[in-house]
Amino acid sequence: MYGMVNKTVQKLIVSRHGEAAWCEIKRRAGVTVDIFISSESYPDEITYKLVGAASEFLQLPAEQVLREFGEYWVIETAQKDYGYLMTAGGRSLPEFLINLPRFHDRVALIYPNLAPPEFEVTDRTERSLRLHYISHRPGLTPFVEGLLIGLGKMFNTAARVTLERSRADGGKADVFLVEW
Amino acid sequence: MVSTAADTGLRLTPDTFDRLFPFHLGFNRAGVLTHAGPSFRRLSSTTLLGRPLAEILCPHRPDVAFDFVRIAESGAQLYTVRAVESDVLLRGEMCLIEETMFFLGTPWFHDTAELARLGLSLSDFALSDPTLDLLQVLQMQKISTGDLKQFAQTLTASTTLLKSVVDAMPLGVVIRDDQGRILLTNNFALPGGESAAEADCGRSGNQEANLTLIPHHPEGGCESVAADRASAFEIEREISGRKCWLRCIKFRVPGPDHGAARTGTLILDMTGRKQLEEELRAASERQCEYLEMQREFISLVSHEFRTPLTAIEGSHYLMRKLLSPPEVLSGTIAEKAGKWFDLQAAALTTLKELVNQVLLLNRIEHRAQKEALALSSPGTLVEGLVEHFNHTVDPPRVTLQNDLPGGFEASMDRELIKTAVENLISNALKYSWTDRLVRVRAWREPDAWSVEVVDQGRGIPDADQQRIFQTFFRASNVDKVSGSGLGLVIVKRAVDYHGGRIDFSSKHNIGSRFALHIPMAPPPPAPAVESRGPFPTKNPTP
Repeated sequence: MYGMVNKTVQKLIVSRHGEAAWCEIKRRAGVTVDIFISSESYPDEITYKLVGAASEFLQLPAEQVLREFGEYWVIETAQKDYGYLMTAGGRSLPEFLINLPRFHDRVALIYPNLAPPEFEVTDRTERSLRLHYISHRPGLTPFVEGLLIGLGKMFNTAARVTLERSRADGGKADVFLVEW
Repeated sequence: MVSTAADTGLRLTPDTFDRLFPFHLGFNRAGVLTHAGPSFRRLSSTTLLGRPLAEILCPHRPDVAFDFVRIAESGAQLYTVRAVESDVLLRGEMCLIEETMFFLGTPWFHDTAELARLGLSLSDFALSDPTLDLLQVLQMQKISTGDLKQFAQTLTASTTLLKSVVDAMPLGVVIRDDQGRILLTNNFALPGGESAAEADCGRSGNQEANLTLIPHHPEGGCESVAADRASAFEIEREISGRKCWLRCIKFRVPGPDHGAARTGTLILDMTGRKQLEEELRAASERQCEYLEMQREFISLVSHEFRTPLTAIEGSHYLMRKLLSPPEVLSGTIAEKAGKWFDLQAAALTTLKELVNQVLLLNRIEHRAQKEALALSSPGTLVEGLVEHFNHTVDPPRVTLQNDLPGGFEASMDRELIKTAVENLISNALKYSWTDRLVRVRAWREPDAWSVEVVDQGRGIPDADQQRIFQTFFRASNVDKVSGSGLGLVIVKRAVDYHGGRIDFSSKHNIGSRFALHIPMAPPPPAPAVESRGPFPTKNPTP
């Protein structure tokens, strides 16, 4: 997993609950990494443990924690860290979502060890599309849902995100219907 | 004007051509722009087609004016051009297709901010265009550099903190790698002015020199320091002409990623402490000498007292015997002489008792070892004492309840214990009402045996109770009852000698209770230097 994802977890916890809370969550997670390098690949286990410990510490369901992380990632991390590249992803929410598969395909080529997820866009209409999220990593569906909500906010677009099909139901991908 | 498949001679639709080369430009021999890709058009706010190429593009490398013929003849070459209006650098190549010279290129960015300035998005680039990959790499490089800078700042702050903590430590710290090179040290100065690192690596500071002031380890190299425990040793060295004592603690510092272990050394300057210890030892020796002199003096004086006392006692006996017949002395004179002889006898007894007690106390104080301990029956001892006292008072007033098991024996200095119990019973008889009983009881406890003496008498006033074990102290209500003020002191010392304890309670005009608890396993002997001496000290034991 991207170090950037773990950094987001850290930033969110520190900004909302303070440095002490982050130290406690790291301690509970048994994570000893002090600084995450954004482009570095870290074992997925670290992210899962951090999310689990944060869920326990904040007394929130892990799904809710992941959703918040996803939204925070777009609003606070990606916009600041990726900057203009993020803006260049599209001039509107649908354009950005259409470009999302290309963006991740490029990342996969540049950083082959990161094993980024795949996205596919289908059923495009004027007011909606279906986004297929394909990943070998389990349990991150709420994170993607949070990302989509965050993207809606980034483009000042009232977006409704509905998880129509889940990998948990046996499919290959999580399918989100995104309406705006 | 838009490119068509017929124009290019290729079987590409204009849409496909635009998708593959979104930033393309085409111009004719007259240098007039005839084609412009959709993304290039986005860079311009005005109409492009039909305008001279020189208004739209300017050459960058090679920096020569665009010339249709020269370009056509020069063959494949990389061209870097600048879009005049947007000031964007594009790189690509010129390609002559029929009568149109095409520039097929893409913008070249050094920063992702350019994208925003130009209002471009991913959709404006051909899918196969690596420009975006380059921007992605540049951005990630920027982010990672930021992370590394933050990491470096954190490391610097941690290192500074660590260094200040190590510098503030009141001991020398030296951390070495597996090659013996110093990784971390502090400015801890040794008595001679040398630093801990100099002391650890050698007087000259040359790490390669074999002049190590502190050996890596007394038994070998750092590898001999066990991974899970520290190894400590003390050394004596002369530093800058001064004798110094250093205590060194060696420990292993795990290497990163299970790499070679580092060795840490903590150096404590023990010189001051050693000097104090030396002074203390010398003072202790002097104290021992004084105590021995005191013991010898008291012993000598007491024995010197005994000899004339024995002579006086003998003379007293003979005089009384000589003058007792009625034919020698009679009447009032005989009566007065009898009283004087009684007074004399009582005074002699008191004096003898005092001398004996001082001698006994002196002996207890200077016993260095428990050589006199031996198995003995406390029950038999107490029974004998009770019987003895009952023979001396009429009617017998001492009762005994012996709850000790039959045949029970304990390790003790029989003479001391006997004197202690004897003193307690004697005091009980002396200070209780003559018609009241003195109760003695002995019993066994899990790890000790005990004996108590309870009387019904004048007791000890509350104000005096804290001081009854002080040498020569006598309670304020003893009146004319004779005593030396040493009896309870002897009891206390005898019990202390056995590692036991005394329980004591007393109520004025009701009586007193003393219970001695003697452990089955006496403690090791106290050092002779701790002897308190038989005479009052500044801080007497209560």
